[in-house]
Amino acid sequence: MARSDIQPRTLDTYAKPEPATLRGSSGFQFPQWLVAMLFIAPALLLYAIYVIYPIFQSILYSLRDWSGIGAGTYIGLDNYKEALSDGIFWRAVRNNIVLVIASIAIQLPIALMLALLLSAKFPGWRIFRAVFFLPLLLSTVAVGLVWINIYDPVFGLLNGILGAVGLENLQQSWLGNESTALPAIIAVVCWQYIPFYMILFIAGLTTIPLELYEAARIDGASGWRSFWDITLPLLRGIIRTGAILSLIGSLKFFDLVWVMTGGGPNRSTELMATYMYEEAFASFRMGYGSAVATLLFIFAFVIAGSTLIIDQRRSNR
Amino acid sequence: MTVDKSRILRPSVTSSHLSRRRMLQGAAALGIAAPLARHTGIVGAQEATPVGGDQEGTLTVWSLTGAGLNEELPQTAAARLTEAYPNVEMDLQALQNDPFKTKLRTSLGSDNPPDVWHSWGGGVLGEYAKEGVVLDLTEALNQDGWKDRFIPGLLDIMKVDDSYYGVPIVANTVVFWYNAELLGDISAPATWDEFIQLVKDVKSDGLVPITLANQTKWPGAFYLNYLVLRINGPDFLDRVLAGEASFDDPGVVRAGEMIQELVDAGAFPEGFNGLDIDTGGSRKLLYAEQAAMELMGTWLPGTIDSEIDDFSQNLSFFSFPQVEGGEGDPSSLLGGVSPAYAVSQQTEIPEVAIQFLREITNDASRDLVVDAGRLAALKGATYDTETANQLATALEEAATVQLFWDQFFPPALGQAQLDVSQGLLSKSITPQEGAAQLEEAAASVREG
Repeated sequence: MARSDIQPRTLDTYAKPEPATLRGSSGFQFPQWLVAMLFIAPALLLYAIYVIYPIFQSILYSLRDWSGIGAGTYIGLDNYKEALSDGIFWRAVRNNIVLVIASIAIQLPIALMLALLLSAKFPGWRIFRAVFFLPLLLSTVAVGLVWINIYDPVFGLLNGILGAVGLENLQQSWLGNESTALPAIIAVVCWQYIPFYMILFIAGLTTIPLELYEAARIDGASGWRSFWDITLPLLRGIIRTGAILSLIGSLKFFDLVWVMTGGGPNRSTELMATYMYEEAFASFRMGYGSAVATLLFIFAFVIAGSTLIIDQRRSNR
Repeated sequence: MTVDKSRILRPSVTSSHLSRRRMLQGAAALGIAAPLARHTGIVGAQEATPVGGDQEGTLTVWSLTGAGLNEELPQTAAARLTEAYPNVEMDLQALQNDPFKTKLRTSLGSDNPPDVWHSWGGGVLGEYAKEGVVLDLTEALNQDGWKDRFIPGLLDIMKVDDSYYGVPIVANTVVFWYNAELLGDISAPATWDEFIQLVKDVKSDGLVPITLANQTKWPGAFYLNYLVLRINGPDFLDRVLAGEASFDDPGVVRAGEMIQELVDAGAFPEGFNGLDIDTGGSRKLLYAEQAAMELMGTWLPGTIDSEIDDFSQNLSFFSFPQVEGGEGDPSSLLGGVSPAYAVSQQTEIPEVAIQFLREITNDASRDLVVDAGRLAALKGATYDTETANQLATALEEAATVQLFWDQFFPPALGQAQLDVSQGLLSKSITPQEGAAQLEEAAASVREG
């Protein structure tokens, strides 16, 4: 075989086989989408059984008056009518909105600040990074129990410290007052989840080329100037991701509230998810609980979906 | 949150609390009672059953978790049963309180329920009975004098429309416990006025009169339950359910006023609605000797001793005071049963399941209850402490034993009264509003 026969086939030819197919041993070509489907199928199947199917199932349950045993009776949209005129449900919705706003407005800025501090790589930064990260690693139930004790009106650390520095008049029964219970829980939520966004932002910061900062410095930009004009714009995508994660997480939030107050006192910390749980599994009104769950799903779906669409439009412009 | 009396009593009995003597006795009782049961038939007061070798299958038993009676009772009963039915496999499963309630309900609605399961009797059992998923035990109870083994008022907790659907083993009642070291020799307040005076006296000594951890709402609901029992009498709740009486009643409003009178007298600790009973929110104040009393079930001493050795020896108790002009008998008690057991309608081996219930309510089981320092729902127990004796006497002499409302009513109304109780205690609703909310919830139960 003449050498010249081979020559026209460049390296490129080998590096790029036809992209849309895989070659079977018999020469049969699987379309790429089919191969992709085969790989996705097991995960998709599990997802369909344990996530998608239950969503539709609970929509069906939400149309019934059902205590969990027997068949229940079909009552159309009565559960939804009841929910929409139920003061406790709206209180839960309002608490969820407060939690969403507080989470985004408190967690993201503090997380960004910590990320910037840690990326300054001052002596001992690794220790600080580990310490800041710790709350995220703890089990939520353990976090809740620890904070129950910190907030204890008589024996708690917080009131103890306030008393020790002469601020007795600020002492509260933090989880026992309707006015302070929700803020007290939001503080713990932030404490636990700030590290997550911190790590997200640290990862984002490493993707910004240092040359940009050097160039800016040569052009005389101060620290603040380069933060506003380089760091923030280049982190935009990450911040957006963080905000959406925080939004959805806050809408679905359940565990810390359940452990620390169970939604009380007097429903002052009730969230949609805790209300759903109580109605379905304590009052055993499975139909009504399913209706609350479906409303929660619709809220989260619409809010998250519209956020994504608005964002998409903006970045296309 | 579902009412969870058993969770707080879980640590009450571990082997470390039993003296060596008792453990030996217990072991001897177990070793001996089982053979006796087969050969003489004294256990469960039934005729000598031939070894039931012809019965085959698996007996699934769902109980609550807990190192104490919750698991010990079914385990020892199962061990005895295995000897009589060598071809029956025992499948004992212990579940946490809240998952238990959810899982039981789901499985009773399915084709594959457990054969035997822990119950609390009352409204939930009634609901299951009406759905036809519980086995009627009336006939079995009438055989061999089995029924006569139970304290009647407690067996009635398992009764729905003149049929029995379960058997109780351990009885609970609620009394005011107080630290006698701290209060000295007080005379038990017989009337509400004397009680309020006691609260005020204790308060002026700089103590929290009554500790309370009401995050889960059921500890505070004892006040509403007891006051309505004292004021409106024993049949009131039945009449409310039947539509012959209304919760929107002057007596219920008065009960709300009396609860708020207690709150105004400073009876309860700071922030009690945020304190969690499961993590000791109320008991911490007792231990620090900052609080003097607690209205709590008979499981309290055991719970306390599992947290601080022998602290319960400082405790004495008095009954909930009488209310002047009330229709209730002052000897009536608020209480319940747990564990109790029921059988599924769908079980394939009902004979074995019923025999399991006979084993778990026999003398050996009763002795286990007594040794654990708890009250038996079975007759003929002899208690070796003064407190236990007094409580057992009070229980036997009680004119009525009113089941805790959250177990007496169907779940939705049971939850509603918890909310009303917490609202009254935190004064976020008026007594009139509380009564109206109760009536609203009762009305939807009547319709449903």
